[in-house]
Amino acid sequence: MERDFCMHNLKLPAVLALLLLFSAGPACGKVYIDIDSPSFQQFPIAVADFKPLRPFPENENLSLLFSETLSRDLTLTGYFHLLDRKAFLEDPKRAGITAEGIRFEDWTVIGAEYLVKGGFQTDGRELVAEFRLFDVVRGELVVGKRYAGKSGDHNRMVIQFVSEILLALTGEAGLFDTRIAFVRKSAASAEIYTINFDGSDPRRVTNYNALTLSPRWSPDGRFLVFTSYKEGNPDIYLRDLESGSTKKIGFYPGLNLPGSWSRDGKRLLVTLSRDGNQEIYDMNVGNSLLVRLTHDFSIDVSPVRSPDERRIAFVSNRSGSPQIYIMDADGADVRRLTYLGNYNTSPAWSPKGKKIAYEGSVNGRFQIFLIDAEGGDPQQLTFEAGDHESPSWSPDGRYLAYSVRGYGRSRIEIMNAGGQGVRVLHEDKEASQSPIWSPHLR
Amino acid sequence: MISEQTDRERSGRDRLNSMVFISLLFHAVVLSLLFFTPSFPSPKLTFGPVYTVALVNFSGKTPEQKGVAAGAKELMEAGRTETVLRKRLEAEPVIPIRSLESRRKQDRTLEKAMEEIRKRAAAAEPTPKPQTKDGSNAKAMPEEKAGPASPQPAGDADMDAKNNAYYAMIWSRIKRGWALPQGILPGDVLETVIDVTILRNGAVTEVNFEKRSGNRFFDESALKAIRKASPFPPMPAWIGEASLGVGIRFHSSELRP
Repeated sequence: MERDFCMHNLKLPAVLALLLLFSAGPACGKVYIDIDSPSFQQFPIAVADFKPLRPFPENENLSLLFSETLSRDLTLTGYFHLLDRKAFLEDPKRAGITAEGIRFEDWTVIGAEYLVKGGFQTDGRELVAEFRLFDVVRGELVVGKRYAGKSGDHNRMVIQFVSEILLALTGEAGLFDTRIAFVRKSAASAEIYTINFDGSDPRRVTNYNALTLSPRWSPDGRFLVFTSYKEGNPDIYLRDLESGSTKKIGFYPGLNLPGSWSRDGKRLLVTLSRDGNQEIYDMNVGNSLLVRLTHDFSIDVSPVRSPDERRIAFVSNRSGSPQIYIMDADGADVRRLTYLGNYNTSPAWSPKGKKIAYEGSVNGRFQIFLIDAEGGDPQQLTFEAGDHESPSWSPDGRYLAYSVRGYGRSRIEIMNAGGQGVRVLHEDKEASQSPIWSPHLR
Repeated sequence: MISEQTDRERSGRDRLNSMVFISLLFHAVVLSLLFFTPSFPSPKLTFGPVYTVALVNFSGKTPEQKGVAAGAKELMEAGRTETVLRKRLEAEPVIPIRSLESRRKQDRTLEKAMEEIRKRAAAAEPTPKPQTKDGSNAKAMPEEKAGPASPQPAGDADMDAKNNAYYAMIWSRIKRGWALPQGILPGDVLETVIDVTILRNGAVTEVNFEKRSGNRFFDESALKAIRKASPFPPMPAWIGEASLGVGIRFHSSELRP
């Protein structure tokens, strides 16, 4: 009550004195200070050089290698602001790597919230490393791990610990166990490649010397489906990434193009042109049997399932221009989702189910947009020159991968779902396009 | 409320009219007592909560206010545009990077305004203001008290502006240190309220959650922002309290798919 008085009586100077009489009791003395968040500062974190756990280490440059790899991987996530080591006050020779050996004020005073320390020891080809994350504001250990492996394993150990840090500070373990598949187009052919989330380890998946496109990961990450013209007709193939074997699963007359999988990995949404024009079907991956979902004289393509599998988003030009529509999983109740712009395609349903990312044409250039799955005003995420296409969500729903083409270059980029923190994942002169994010691969 | 009742009474009954007259008379007496009684309790004078809340509250919920001291006005303006920016981010969040940049600029203008207020507050401090401690200085009070009641508030508003300058300092310190990367919050609007007790030397003694947001990362970041900002600047001399209880409300309305 009293607080209400405090908040609302200011317009009435005539009654002010009276109100003051009633409200001036001590209960009204409480002041509230409002602070609104979206300044979005990254976590300030310091990474100290790793210390040898034993005197006279065999491999001294591991000390720097650990801290530098760790700094790089933390930066990649977009959540951390790495403090410059030149600002460090601590004497590395005297300080320890456990809470007892650290003066936390040395770190808070330079603005750190978190500190990573660690140590290593080598024994022939064996490598043991300890990692500790400290909350220096509270002055306590957040998480500590000890990894044992071979001498070349330091990268894997670092990635493992960065995942621990992310889990502790953001609630998600990060994406270091994910890969991104994309299509690399040259003059005569297009092949599928995959690359790690941190841009490392690019691998070629297909080598058909033919047009190959539209890769889609199975929910367990073991299979990739894609369309290839390698036998003349655009058919759908299933590649087992473990065994390397490939099987043709969609070979109806005309176009066969894969869409999204069901969660159990048994069904695949596909676009086929066997009935005259492109229509959407739900295909059984095991026996290729079909259930037709759309019946329209216009083109219906690019189907994606909602995470709860109750709805399907797709692209249709039934209104005259390509727009995104949503229908029930059985094809009923079709409704138009996008109205702004005259060319909206490539829908990607967010893993949490609330949003749909897509590409839309703005002044003749494609940009990435985000729209509520229930409809509403779209939010434009990219603004740079060039065509931004084929958005794909990370499995935690925090990032989008997409392709950028223009000025003779072609890139696969990653940004966070708010449109910030853009990072180039892959760049070359060939056309790289259609990135698609894998699920977590163990 | 009060004016509605008197309208009705005037239209009708004479008896009630006389009651109104008696009521007015009573208020007049009480008011004049207020004006001339030296033993009025001090806290509400040195620390006028009515103004204080409205001025530091940057959320834009409070009604517009006229006749505040210039410094406080600047602060309000700085605070208000901040809020407007945030709203724009929600309503048509089309240019996130740019809005972030303009936010940074905004922070700078705010800091400038703060700096000015600090200077003014520092300049005002040496002028004889006997109501500083514990309110035991009786003679100064009736004069101060006349402020809010008079049509042109001067003394109290000025003091409120100074109080607000102190709160604005706290606000700025906490906001500057509040680290929360984009992308880790759920889509819902979150609010955490943390109560702190500030001693005269600026030390923060008690820190308690009045309300948790339900998101532990958000709560933790808010708590950490306060810990990083403390100790706060020492309380200015014109705040007569031995300690201050302040609620700090952290809001988030990040868009998250």
